[in-house]
Amino acid sequence: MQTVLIVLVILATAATIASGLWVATGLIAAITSVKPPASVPPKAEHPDHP
Amino acid sequence: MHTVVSVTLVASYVVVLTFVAVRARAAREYAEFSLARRALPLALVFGSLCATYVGPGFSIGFVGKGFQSGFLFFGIGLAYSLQNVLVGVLVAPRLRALNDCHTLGDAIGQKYDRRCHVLAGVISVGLCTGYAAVMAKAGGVVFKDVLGLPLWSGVVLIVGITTLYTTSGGLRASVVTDAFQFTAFAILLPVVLLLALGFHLEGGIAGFAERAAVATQDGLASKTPFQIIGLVTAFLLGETLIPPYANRALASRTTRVSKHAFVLGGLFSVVWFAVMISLGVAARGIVPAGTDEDHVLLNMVKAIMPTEGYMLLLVVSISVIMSSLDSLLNAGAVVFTQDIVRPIHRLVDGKALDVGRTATVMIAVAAAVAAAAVPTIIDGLLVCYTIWAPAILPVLVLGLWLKKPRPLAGILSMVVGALVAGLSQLAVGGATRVPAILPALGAAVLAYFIGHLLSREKGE
Repeated sequence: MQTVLIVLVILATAATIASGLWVATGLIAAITSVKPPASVPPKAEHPDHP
Repeated sequence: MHTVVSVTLVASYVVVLTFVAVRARAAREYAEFSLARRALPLALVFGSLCATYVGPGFSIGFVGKGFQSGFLFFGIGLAYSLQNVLVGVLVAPRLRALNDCHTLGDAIGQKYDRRCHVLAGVISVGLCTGYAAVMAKAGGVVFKDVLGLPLWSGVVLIVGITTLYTTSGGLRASVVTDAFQFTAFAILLPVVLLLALGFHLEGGIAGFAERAAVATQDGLASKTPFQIIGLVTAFLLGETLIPPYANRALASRTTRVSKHAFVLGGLFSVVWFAVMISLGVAARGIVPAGTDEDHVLLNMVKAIMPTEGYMLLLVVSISVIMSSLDSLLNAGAVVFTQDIVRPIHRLVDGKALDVGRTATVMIAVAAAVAAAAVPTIIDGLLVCYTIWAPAILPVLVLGLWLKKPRPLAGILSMVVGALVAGLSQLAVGGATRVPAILPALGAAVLAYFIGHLLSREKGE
């Protein structure tokens, strides 16, 4: 019974750490795939005295 | 040497958090600020959802509960896990499938009418402010305990930093920083448990099991069956689909992502509660008996780890608090814009973004001021739980499932649920506060069906 309890606690600990690592990989994928905002094309220059 | 390592540790955390927040970049449109363009992948929705619900209550609070009452609160916490799984299977996909829906108020407005929409918005903003005040207070307490700062300056510091990136980046910044903070505490706290089990376990495995059995028996003896039923109800319903969770369900990439994030979030809470309660049980051999529940984790880390470990705990605690606070600020701001301002005034996208940003700051200021009035972290959370479930859940769940929900039923249920919850708490006081959720929930459901029948007779 004691061994079962400690094994379950260690499994829970491992699962928690694994969840943290999984989210870390998702986070890295998300922040490395952020595309730069689309650049606005410069407005056509209008001469002051057409 | 210790000071240098400690400062480096905290500085590295701040630098990485800033880098992550900057990479999330500023929201340029309201759709980005409110729902991150409904493009969030599973890992981020899951991480953010878990980071939001793992606040000071489910970390520092649960370690204290494990210390006092062993695995009793693990059993009670399973009601929360079940709730997340049920929401994932039954509600989140239906919510995500609604078109043009930013908040729960939107969903209620689509199913009932505009009056219900605004009323749900007012209740939601009040609740987000209340929860945020509890988180601000918790942040102030951590800074006070670890660094000796006055409470008010800790509150200002944590609310200020969180407001800065939430106002700029909206939901995407909140979710991305949540994922980073989740990674920090989901790895560091289990490592503390492994250290305690491996090097500081007096009496070995047998000692741990014996302490767990004694503490659980003490816990069971200290609660009446009625109190346990009340606690199970509060954990089952109290946080169900509060605005930040609803935002994550709505912002998921697909209905499948929405469903799986909640189901996995529920399963994660089982292992998380097991780790927190085990930390509390392990602390019984390390921390003196009679230690205040909220200080068990802090004192345990102080006893078994070097100074750097203590700073590590500061980092973990701040992560836990900020990840909940940023979600509440963003959700409150989106609800204010979408459910209170937009139904009354037409707003173009750019203007809605400005209103959302201003609302973030307003809610943050209100929460920082209200933090002074929060009695304790757990009491503050229970007040919010007791009001949210009766005021909103019957209306939302019945609205999503009934073919023709009636507006009168919605209004009656929200008003009666909120009033009975508030009055029950004032009437019964602290000792029996948790069960106040039961009469309020019953009254809200009854009011709903009375309103439904009255409307049907009128032929509305």
